Amino acid sequence: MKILQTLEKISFKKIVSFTFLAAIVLSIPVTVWVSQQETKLASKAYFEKPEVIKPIQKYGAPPSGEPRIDLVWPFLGKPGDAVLIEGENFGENPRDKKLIFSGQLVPETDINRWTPNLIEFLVPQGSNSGLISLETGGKTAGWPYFFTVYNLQTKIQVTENNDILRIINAPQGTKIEVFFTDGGQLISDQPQAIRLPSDKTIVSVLVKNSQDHLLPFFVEPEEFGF
Amino acid sequence: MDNKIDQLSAHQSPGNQSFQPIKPSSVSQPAPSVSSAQPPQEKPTLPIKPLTDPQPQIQSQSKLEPAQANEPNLAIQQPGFTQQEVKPVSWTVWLKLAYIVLFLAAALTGAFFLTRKISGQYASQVDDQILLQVPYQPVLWKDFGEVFEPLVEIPVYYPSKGFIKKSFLLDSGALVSSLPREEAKNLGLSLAKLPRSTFAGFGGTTSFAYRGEIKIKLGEQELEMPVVFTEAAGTKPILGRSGFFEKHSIYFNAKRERIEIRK
Repeated sequence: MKILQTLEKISFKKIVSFTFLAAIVLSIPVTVWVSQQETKLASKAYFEKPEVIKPIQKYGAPPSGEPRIDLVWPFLGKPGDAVLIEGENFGENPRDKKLIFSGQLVPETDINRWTPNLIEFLVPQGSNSGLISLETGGKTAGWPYFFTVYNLQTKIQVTENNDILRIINAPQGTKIEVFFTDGGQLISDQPQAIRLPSDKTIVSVLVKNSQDHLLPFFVEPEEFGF
Repeated sequence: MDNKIDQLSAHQSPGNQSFQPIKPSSVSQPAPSVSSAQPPQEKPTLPIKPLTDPQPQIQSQSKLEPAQANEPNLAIQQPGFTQQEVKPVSWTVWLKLAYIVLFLAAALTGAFFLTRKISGQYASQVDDQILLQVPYQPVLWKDFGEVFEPLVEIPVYYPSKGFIKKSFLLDSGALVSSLPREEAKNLGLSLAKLPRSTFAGFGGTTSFAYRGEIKIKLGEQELEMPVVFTEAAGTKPILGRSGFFEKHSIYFNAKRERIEIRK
């Protein structure tokens, strides 16, 4: 009743002014609240930027048996390319491990995966063609075939089509050596057409000059199945 | 008790004003013995009129200001009784009150919806931000009935042919966009010269993928996008997170049954 009596005393003009001001004052929190609700749904700013999840390096037990490399695939690559080593008894990423690539220790950062049966690593920067070996739990294993390292400037290319190997952009006197999974080997100094046995699978290829020095070369992966 | 009230009304109510007596039980002080001081035969000559029209009311008050008590027309004070007249509320007061309530309600509702509309437009972005929109492509599945396929046709740049539309599957679960490796040759790329990675396929098998970039067109916008060329020949090209989902808003507009790719 007191409010009504007060209202009676206040003029309409004042009421209008008061109401207008009150509306503005009350609208501010409403506007802010609604904006916040919408922002919650839409804006990145509402959420704290999540931290980058980094892979956790976990070390496991060394192998109990003798490690053995069954395949290094593919047989060539550029620095930074992924390579797989298949085999047995590599251990579950043991602390005590070494991967040697062409006489150079592969840094831990370049080893993407180390499981009992599979190792994935990146061809180290600045490395040359050579052999691959590993040491795990104090035991060693090696791969008898050369791994070829090439770069983007490499011109020599080996192609394979319908079991015929060809070498492109090779200098005179270039020889090719092809190794198969069954241990067989094929050596040819006829780089224009080397017929491959159709029942065999290539495990490695080497290109040598007339002085028997290794020449870097590249292949198109789809032709060799990697 | 009735006598007491009657006497009070007869003696002190002026004119035809009527009063509502309030029982002294509501008063903290004990009731004085008014009736005992007056003989019962002194009955009021004026009867109390029933309350038909809005009339001033008398309310009891335990304490009343002396000035008010001296005003005979407004309040009557007797030991134990206090009565006060209350004026009727004018219609203008109700009008003012209604104005305040309605104005505030309208203003707050307006502020709510206006802010929501503006924020909503900002949140979902306006239509001119749409780079590409594609209607849902329904596919009939044996077990699930009609389900739309999140396929979009995007022009891809081929050096020999220019931009050619290619159908991609939108896959937010894919880390990176991918193309079958035979596409590399069409795009003038040599896999041997591209960086090689691995990816885990179905059944835990590890395969090689080659990282490259393709040029695509979204609306009028041309952009370079990272892709991998995988050996899964014959599979659909995929648009993944890296370089695509992370840079665009992909909106599945169920109401309009279309996929919208926005800036």
